[in-house]
Amino acid sequence: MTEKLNEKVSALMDGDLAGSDAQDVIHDLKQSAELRQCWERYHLIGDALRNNLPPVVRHDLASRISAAIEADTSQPLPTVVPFVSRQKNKPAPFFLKPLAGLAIAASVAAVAVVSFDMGGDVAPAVQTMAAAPAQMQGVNRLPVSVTPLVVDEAAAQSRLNDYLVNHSQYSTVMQGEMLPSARIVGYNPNE
Amino acid sequence: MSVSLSKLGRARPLFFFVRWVSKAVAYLWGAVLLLVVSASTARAADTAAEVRQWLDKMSHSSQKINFEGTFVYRRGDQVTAMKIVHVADENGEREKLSSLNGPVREIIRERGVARITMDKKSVVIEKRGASRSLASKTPEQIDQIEKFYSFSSGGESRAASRPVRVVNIVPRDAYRYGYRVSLDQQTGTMLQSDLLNEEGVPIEQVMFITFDLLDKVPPTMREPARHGDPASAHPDGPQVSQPLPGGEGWKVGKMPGGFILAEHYRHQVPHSQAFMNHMVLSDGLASVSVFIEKNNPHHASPFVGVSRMGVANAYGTRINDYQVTVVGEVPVATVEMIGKSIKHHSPGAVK
Repeated sequence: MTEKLNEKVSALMDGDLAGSDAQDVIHDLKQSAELRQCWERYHLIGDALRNNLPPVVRHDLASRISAAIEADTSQPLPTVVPFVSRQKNKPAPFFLKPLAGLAIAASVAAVAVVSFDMGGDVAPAVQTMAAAPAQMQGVNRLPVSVTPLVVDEAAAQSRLNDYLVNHSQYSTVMQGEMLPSARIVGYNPNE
Repeated sequence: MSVSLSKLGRARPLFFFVRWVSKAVAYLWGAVLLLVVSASTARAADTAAEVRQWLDKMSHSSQKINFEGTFVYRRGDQVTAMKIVHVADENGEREKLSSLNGPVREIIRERGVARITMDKKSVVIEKRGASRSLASKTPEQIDQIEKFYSFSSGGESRAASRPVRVVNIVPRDAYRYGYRVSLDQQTGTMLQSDLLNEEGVPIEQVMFITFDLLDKVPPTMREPARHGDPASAHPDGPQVSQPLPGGEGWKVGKMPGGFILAEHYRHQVPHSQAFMNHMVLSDGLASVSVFIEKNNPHHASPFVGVSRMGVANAYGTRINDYQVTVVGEVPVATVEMIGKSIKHHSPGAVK
């Protein structure tokens, strides 16, 4: 029985289950902690096979996140707005502006900017997703008070982009210009 | 054993002999130990020198070889497959890099000029200022970098089915990111590169899938690309940028060890008559830009605080009437330390 379920979990992971079969397994996953562990384990195996393992694997990360969500006292979630979508009505993409540099790189590419709903009594301790797991794992970081950057206007955002593009023209390169080029080409406007 | 020997009178010479032997053995051991210790320190020094040789080989490799290859570029959960053709001949280095999935994007570089084609539109861009390549650094400058990063060998491995040498560049404090690069043993070309954050987790990766050296420059790359006049590509004409000797009254009060004010410019703000101050701080590997611009009440909204943008972090603050923004591929702590320490001594110096 368990073996069959495990097989189904594996199939779900590979995207081989559809419709009601998938629904059933998801339902089972919700019910059974053991099955959830199996799901986690399969992902770990997959990551290991793909040589994709992080230096430290926390087995209890998912449960800790669940616990943290449980314990969270309902603050409004930040809305994540890809900056690019705001720029759609502009006549020319900003990377065609004079400042646009060799390494639109960090800039363009990088700029899935997080905008925060600052209305009401939202505590300023909201962080980007990337920063959160590290904190939960208790990794030693330099004490940093992260206050979200307020970027409400497209104009302000565009200026910040100009800074990033400009900066990347002046950064040190280890070898040739491959990385700055890759950063430009790797830019996904729908990111 | 010596006790039993001493009881036998006739065996005394033997006893002395045994003592002599054991003493000699002890000395010999000491000597061997000394040799081993000195050899291992010598080996450590060898390794450091060897790693520097590899980095040197890496930084110069692109000036000497023709190659083509495919690689994946990953940043966060975004992955793009790309193709690169690189040639170096009497006309200098030329390089063409294009995306293999998603919209067609292409960059052709030659002598500091790049033509970027994205979504069927092209723009030509010139790179300004001195070379910031690792290849252009003197041994003394590399010594300086080594004070804040440790170079170590990560042994041998394989990338794009070629033997590679892995080199770790690990920051000695939490104010900069590290690198792990895999260099082609034959040519020194970087076949894999990871940018590692404060926790040692890769935040940006390049990994070659195929890499082929070319004997000849392929026909498509034989002719230097015709870029036309770079200035004409800018709708607003060429950008005005001037190197500045001093800080124009602006000073960075505090920066992490090893960082110096490497360059200082005054740029024209796009679509405007205004100028902005641009200071480039660098520790030799990482660089941080400080932009100072007078606030325009009509269109500007201030940035205050910290933001992460892919591999770069930014810190914004307002000082008097000015917007100060610090940007760099460095940890948050670095942009924040620099941003918080910026002071203005003579107001009104920046128009």
